[in-house]
Amino acid sequence: MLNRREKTCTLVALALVIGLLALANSFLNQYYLRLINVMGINIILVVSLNFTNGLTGVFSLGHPGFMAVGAYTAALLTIPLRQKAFILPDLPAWLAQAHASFPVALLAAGTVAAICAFLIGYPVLRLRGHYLALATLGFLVIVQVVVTNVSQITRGARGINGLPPETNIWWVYGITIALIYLSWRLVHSAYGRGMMAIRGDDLAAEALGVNLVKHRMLAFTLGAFFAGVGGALWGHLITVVSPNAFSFAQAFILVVMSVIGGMGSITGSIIGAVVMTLIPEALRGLEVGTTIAGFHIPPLYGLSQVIYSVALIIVLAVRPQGIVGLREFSMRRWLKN
Amino acid sequence: MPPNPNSILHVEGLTKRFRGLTALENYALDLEPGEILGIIGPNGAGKTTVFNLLTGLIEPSAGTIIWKDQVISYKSPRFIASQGIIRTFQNIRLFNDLTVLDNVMIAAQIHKRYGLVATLLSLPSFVQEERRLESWCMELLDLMGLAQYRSRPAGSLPYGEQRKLEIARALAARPELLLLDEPAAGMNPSESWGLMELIRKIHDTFNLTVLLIEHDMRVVMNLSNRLQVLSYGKIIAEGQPQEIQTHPQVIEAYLGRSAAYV
Ligand SMILES: Nc1ncnc2c1ncn2[C@@H]1O[C@H](COP(=O)(O)OP(=O)(O)OP(=O)(O)O)[C@@H](O)[C@H]1O
Ligand SMILES: [Mg+2]
Repeated sequence: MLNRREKTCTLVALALVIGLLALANSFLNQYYLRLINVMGINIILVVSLNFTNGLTGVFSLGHPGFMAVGAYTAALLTIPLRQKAFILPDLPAWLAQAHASFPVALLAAGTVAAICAFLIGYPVLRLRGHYLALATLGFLVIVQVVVTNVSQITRGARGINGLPPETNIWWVYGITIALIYLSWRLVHSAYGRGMMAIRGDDLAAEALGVNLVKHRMLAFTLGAFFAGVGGALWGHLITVVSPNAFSFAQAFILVVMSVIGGMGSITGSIIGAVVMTLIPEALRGLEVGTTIAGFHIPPLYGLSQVIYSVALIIVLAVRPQGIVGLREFSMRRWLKN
Repeated sequence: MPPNPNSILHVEGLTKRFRGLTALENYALDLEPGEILGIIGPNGAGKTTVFNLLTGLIEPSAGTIIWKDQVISYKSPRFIASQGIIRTFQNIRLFNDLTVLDNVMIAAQIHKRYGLVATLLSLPSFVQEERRLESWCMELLDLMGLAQYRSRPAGSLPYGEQRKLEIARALAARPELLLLDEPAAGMNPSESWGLMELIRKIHDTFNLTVLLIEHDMRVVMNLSNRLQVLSYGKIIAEGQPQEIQTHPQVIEAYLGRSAAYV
């Protein structure tokens, strides 16, 4: 529980963040705005992955699959009906007629993703052991195959383009803040403690009356919900959804972000997402080749993948618990200094 | 049905086979409310197996367990815990990453009454219940002398304190039947004496019925109203502590089997 002083400080910090975002929104150019949005979406993805991988200790690789489900769901709802009839002429009638505002589409994206998670999780999460990693890997493959082949709905490998560019800083960070708040509430409640108990020792947890299946399902479906929302935000940011964006490589990147920041910590998830969005972006010049102080550096394709891998190896070797470990940012500790 | 009308826990014919090995054979027990029953026996005698069966962590090969007129053999550990049977573990199983207070809260929340919506919106029902749970947990930590560690990770506590924390955690779930698996293991004589008094105190304070597995004879003889002696999965003797101490088969089982262990 926060005391009054901590509450005030939290509100001030929140107001500061909103002020900064407003400034950014009015003064920064498209490139930086996009980067800030990508960063926010990555925060949403990593913080939501933390429910399973960090808090509950069940390892999921399914996030890109849920992102895809969310992105396509939302896309099919937000594209204007005329345009939809033109690019997807073979759509079933009810889908061809379906249209929704962006917020409703986001909600639908999360809900459909959560339903998928429920269906995958229900049989798998009753088992002891690391079956979820395998099952979610299978799910990734299935999503790829389905999206690529059911082309009357998804346009197959070509993807759907021309999504309305609805994603902006307010949607992204509004949802980011809501998710962080929700996470924080959960961690400091019976639900979060139950999850962390399962991570620590599922047998002892069960002997103390913790419902393993319920907690694991909650973590998994909640994570999937926000992955779906994140996918939809992403799609409406770059205005294209195509199957190759939701690959295993994406799962790897999210896991790296989470491990680097500190698996199990909300603060760590945020830091991991921010750091591992900015570093590869800063070094992106190298990927296309550049000239520094008269030296010509040839293009280094695939460099960002290498950066993720190298960063992962360094962190695992030097600080395996990640930048912040399991700890959380504490207003109390901070106020003392 | 229980032959003894006062019995709250009735066990009969309880048997557990692991592949070829019979870890427990035809085990029987009738426990009266408020009793402290000690279970002793050499290493590998099947003592922990009794606990694992009673708490549903493993399924019996045969036999029945009745808790207050309800058959609980083959029920899930969670269900059994919810019925008021809580245990500690021989090899300490705390949630090492979590704080001492959180360890205890996890057990206490078995009786929580708020839901997900109340949690996320921080409704008064959530806030009040969390306060109530926390003050109950702090009361227990105080009782067990662990209050000063409340914010420390459980894994960082000294060994003896970890053993006490396991008991505090079990108590937080408000058990009626407490199963203690070698609570004094690894403690020096003065620590184990202190623990013994603590166990007696919680027994009296919370009206507990206790099953106690313990190798420390001083502790178990002092605490128990009644003793069972297991050897090779069978009950070889049962009775008052004084009777057991002089029982020829018990002396034989201990001295003959494991003189190394005192
Ligand atoms: N899960 C299991 N799988 C196979 N064998 C087991 C299992 N659990 C216990 N056993 C065996 O059953 C027998 C009884 O074990 P148990 O742990 O009940 O003994 P114990 O009386 O608690 O001994 P100790 O004093 O060493 O704790 C031992 O031979 C043990 O090896
Ligand atoms: Mg044992």
